[in-house]
Amino acid sequence: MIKIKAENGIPMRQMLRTSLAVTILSIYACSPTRYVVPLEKGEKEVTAHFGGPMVNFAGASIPIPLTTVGYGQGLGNGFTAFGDLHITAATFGVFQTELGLSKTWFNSESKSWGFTASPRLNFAMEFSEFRTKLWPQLDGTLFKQIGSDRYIYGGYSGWFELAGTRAHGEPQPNQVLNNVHLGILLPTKARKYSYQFELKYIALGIDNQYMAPSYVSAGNSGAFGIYFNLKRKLTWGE
Amino acid sequence: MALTVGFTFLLALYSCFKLDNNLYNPNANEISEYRLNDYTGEVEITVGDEYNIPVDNTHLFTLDNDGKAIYALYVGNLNTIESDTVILYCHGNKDHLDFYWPRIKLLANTGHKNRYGILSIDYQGYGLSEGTPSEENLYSDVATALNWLKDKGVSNDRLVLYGFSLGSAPAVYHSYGGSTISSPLTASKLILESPFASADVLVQDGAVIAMPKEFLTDLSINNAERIKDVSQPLLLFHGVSDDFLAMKTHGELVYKNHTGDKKALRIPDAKHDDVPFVMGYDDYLKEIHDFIVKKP
Repeated sequence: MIKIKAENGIPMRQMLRTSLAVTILSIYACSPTRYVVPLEKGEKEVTAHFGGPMVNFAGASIPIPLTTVGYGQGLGNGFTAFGDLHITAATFGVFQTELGLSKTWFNSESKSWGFTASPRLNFAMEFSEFRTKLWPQLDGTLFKQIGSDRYIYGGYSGWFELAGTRAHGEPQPNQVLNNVHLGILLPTKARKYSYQFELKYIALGIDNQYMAPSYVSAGNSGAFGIYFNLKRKLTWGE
Repeated sequence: MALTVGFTFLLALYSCFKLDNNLYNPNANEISEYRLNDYTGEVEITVGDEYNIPVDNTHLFTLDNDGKAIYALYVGNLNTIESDTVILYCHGNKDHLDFYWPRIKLLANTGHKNRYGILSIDYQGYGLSEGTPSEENLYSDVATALNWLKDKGVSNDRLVLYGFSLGSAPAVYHSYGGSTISSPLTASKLILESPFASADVLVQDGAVIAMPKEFLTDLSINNAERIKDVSQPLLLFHGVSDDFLAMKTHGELVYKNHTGDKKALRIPDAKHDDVPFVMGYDDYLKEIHDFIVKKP
């Protein structure tokens, strides 16, 4: 059962909760899974991602409107290199980028099924004290073709906290954030563009009751996320 | 792609959006005058008529902080303030003295009615106080209130600082020895209710990971470290079910880091701003009174 956390009707606390959620999560990943299906060798593509975790705001449940732009290039043999820039994070004075490499294995020549592993590295830096943060991520996604260039997929994404302590030397309670995703990839008629819808569940098992952002969740942990990804091919594969 | 990278980098470099201003909620319910008992807007808590204060013991006036008018409310007998013990109540981030008037009345019944003087102010930008809310102005405004108390003859040994939520920041700031804004008085005892540990903890609780607070805010609220230099006895209240500033990461840390004489009251089922109500007003006031009169 989906539980919407009840607000106590104090508008400003909602504003602070939502602001915290927007700013925290604009920095802390929350984009759809990249390159579930690999690009062909030489194929180049740009992407724009919109969406984010769901929060309660002014009596409604909305996805945080995070924005990321990215680029990917097929390297052959099922490899796709990609990189992203987080525009929403930049509006809060944080330069955030990620670089990754996905590798896909297909079940057969027909390529009707496949599995993609995507390790990536996230990096963020702010410009007041030049504080930085680095965190690795690993996605594993199973996909199935359901039509011409149409795929459904589902998988797991792990975000890894490298620091053993947090503020004031207190133990960092969570070293791994576990997330799952389900999505669909769809082409447009022109084939130059394609789009992707994804539903995520973020931070499985992490208690969200006692934190200022008011996430929409199933029970008292984690948060739902909704994402949309628009892709445009720049060059086609060999 | 290079253009996009460059644009994003410059946007990050020159952006000035931060969380800071969202911390202050000075006038969710705007007022044009202070009405106290006649105020019909939203209030923090409600108390019965038995807590009412005689009009003669209710004094509304302004203080001057560098040309800014700061509204202040003193509940007590100004003729005896020199010999009274006074609680300086630093309120939270929302609204104004009308919103907190029931709380002020409640505190004024600690021990017995008007046993203690209660002073509270609206920080700059709050209520009818001039100026703009900021962390530095919080500290400076409370220093102005302390100056007024000092001028009235209140001494350190008869001053108790009480900080609720955002108010915990100036309360701790003016209790520790490292403040850059001078504290005219140093309270002999400190009461904190639902306090912030720090801006870092606020950010990291929401992020779940150890994210630097500088990613989101320029606030330097750091009660968890400053409390280490506070030797005055501490009484801390925190709701176990506080879903804004979690007791485990905020209140417990502040409490742990205070090394002097201290007592913590962890109130089951209480959230961020209903600790006195959930405790029961009589029990709440008794704890405060017992804390104040306790000999070192």
